[in-house]
Amino acid sequence: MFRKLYHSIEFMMLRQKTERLMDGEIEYHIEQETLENMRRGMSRREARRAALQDFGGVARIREECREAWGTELAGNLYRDLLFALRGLRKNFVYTFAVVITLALGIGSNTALFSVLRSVVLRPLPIRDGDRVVMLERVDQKNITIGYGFSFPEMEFYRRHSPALEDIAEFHRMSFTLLGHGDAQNVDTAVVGANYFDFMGLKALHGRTFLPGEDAHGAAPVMVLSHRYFLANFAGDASVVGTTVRLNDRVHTIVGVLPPIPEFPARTDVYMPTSSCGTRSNPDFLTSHGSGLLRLYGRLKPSVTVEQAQRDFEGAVARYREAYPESDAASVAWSPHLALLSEEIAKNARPTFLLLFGITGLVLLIACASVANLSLARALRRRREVAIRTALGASRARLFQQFVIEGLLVSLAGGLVGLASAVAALQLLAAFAARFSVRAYDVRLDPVVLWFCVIVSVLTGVFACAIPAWRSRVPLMAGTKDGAAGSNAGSSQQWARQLTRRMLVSAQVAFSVAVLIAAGLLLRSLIKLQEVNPGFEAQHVFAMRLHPNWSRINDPETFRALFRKVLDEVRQMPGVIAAGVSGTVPLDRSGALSRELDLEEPPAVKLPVTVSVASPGYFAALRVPLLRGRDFRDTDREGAPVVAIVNQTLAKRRWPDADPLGKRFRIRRLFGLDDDTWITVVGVAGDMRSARLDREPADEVFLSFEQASAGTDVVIRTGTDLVQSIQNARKIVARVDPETALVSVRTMEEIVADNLAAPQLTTQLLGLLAALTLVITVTGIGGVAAVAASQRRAELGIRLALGARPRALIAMVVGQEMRMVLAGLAVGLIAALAFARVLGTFLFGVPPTDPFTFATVAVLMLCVAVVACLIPAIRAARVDPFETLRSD
Amino acid sequence: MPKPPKPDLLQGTLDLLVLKTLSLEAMHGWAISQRIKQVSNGAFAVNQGSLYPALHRLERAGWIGSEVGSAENNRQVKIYKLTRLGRSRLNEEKENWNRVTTAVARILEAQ
Repeated sequence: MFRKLYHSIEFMMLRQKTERLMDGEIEYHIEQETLENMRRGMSRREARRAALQDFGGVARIREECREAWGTELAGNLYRDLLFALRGLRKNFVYTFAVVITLALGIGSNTALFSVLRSVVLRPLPIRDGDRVVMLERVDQKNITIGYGFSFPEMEFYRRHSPALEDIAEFHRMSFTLLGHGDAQNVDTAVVGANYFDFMGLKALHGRTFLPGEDAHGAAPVMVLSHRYFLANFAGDASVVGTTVRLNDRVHTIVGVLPPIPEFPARTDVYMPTSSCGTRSNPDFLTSHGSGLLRLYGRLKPSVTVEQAQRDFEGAVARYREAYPESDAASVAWSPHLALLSEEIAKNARPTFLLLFGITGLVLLIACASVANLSLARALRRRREVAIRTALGASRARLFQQFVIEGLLVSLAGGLVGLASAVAALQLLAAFAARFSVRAYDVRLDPVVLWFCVIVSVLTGVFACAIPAWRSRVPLMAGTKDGAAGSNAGSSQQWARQLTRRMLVSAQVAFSVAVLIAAGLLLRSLIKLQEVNPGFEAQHVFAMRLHPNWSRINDPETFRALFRKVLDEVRQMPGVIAAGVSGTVPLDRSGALSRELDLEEPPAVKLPVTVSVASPGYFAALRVPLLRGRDFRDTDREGAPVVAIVNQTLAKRRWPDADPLGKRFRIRRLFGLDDDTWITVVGVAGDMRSARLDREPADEVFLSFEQASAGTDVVIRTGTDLVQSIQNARKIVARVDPETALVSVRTMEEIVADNLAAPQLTTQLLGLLAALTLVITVTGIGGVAAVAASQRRAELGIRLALGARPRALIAMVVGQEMRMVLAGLAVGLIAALAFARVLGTFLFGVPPTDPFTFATVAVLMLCVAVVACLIPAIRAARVDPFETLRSD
Repeated sequence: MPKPPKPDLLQGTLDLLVLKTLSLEAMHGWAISQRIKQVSNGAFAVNQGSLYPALHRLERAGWIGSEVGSAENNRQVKIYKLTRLGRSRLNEEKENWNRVTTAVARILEAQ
């Protein structure tokens, strides 16, 4: 069948050439035959007639030749194509509505499918991905415990797990990379030399680790991850063979990995176990208490995950028996073994399956809308079809015509959909990155393209061609009563209309609910952007320092490093204020959650957030000191330990008293003794430290000098921010070339990062809302068009009897608006229920925000009226004589 | 019709004749028709024109190929030639033909 079609198309292309040659050879044949006949003594005329007679019907022979090529089909295809294009161009509104609706349906499905495929369905780029498992400890709730395995434990399991071919170890460390530009902080995976063979990973450039490179005393080597290689070595393969320093040891870069998921978290470089000080410490090799390692296993062929799980449980039980004193034996946990691919897909699968389900639903709705539009169009064309049938067009030919038209619009829709999927892919990939380490790999591959093509063809056939095909009527009825074609009272017809209207009502309800959800999110995003964070973000930036811990290994050198940087930064031109802190607002990585133990009654333990600040920190952020004083350089080691609390804490703990001079204790605090008394010397204004949408918590700041902790230098400048950042980077590199800058961010960037997640959610939901709105509009328009087409005769009579067109339009619109109003009511009620769930995501907007509800209702009504108007106006323009004549 | 009736060409036989003719050398439509006429001594009542649909059919089936060449008086015509596929097809057809003719002959000569 395809072969035939292919040949036909090929013939269509070559049509002219082939026909020319065919005519040529036939003409030549006849000429030669004529000459031959003349040689036998015939006159020229006679000779030619005889030649033609012998040849036998040139036209018929030509036709037979064409048929030999399947020309018949190709010729029709071509003609039908032209005809369909003409028809579609003439009916632009229909074409536009169908293409856009299908584009949205197909586009959203294509985009979602490509994400689903990239993060869940496509096999992992490792060898025998269906046999690599993770060994984990889980608690009673089946949640993974962060505490890893000790070395003796791993060795024990390796010996006592017959279901596993091999076990590979892995742990993460943070190192400072030196000798390539500025010092850099790198997330490092420490692995055995067999790790890459175990995973079946081949280097993209150079090689991976050789056996023995993880032995004690082996020459230090490392491998770069693909992302890090691109970002920091500009993808230059000549980096292989060069050396860099990690903390205090020089490593040779032996290879670069291909792109792989960085699981369980971001990984910049890989090094063998011999390079990790902790791991190669002889004590570690015998300690049952250092749970550092994460373990991967490879199932033996034909062993199932369940068998391996039982096997693992057995091994753990034996280990506990053998080492009853170890942590692994005394702490409660259960062994859990799962496929690595499952673990990686775990978070993403339910989310994206759900989303895919939703877009599937959207596509179905889109198809229903398009089906109505196609039906309405076919009803208008009934007479044309009937005439063609009467003239002898076969059923197959007619069907072919409908299919070609359907495919034309659906493929156009698919193409537009594909383009919009490409445009939306970035957004979706950013969203997917929250659930999956494989989001880097989100792309349109051939499978996705085929998916798009197949969905387009299916929608073309089922949403466009078949509804139109089914609308055709028996020959006589068609020519006789033309478009009217209906006895309005027919109960079957009425039931079909009702179903159609209920479907549209449901569509309206769905889209109202989604619009309200999107509207509420948008309003709360705007509120969030307007919230006062308690600090001034403009003209401020924060540098996060990562010292080389191999050298900066006592509190005094640590403090000296920051002191020196701070001193020099303050000398920079334009710097207004600068200070050290243990964390930055809206980035909680450095803050501690502790309990406050007040000196005075009530003697209760109160949860607080503890961070660190140096003199100048509050000034840099323009956080007002409401009472007392800022830290001073004299608040150092040996002096009484002091603290600044935020306003919330001060108000809550000492509502009626002066907080200055009050004392408290906090256990497990940086390097301080647990029973140190800490005195309040100042009260700072509240900041939204954790999140923009959270009220400030009780917060305590300790003096940087006394806590000997801190990560960031925060700088406010009066001059150009970019220039100041460059200068500050240079200062750090000069003060200590081995101190890496983990990040240099402006406070405005940090605020924007904090808004990124709600922004993304709002954008996606907004997209979905816009999409459903458009589809709903075509849905309403489609039903209205069908109804109007079926009532053409009636409307014609009314016109003939003197009804004014405007009144007819109002009548048609009014009738269709009933289904919209019903849907709107249901949608508003559904949104009320739904918004309560949404409440946790909202900020500063009640879930029943009347403004949003009213706006959405008005919007829906307006677009619905427009959608009904188009077919109503067309119907009212009908020529009354034409409809009357046909009845 | 004053001419004496001639036997109709058996269905499919024309294909066989064309393939056989082309197995000797590549030639254009007119030449093929002349050749068949000569060799068979005009034994078949065949519309000369029906040669061409057969040629196109065989070409589409891939048994013969064609290229554009020029005949006398510089006319562009298709020159047909047998393909490898066509050659094996010809052998099959030949065997078939032999089987059929032998069988028919045997029936006719049976006493």
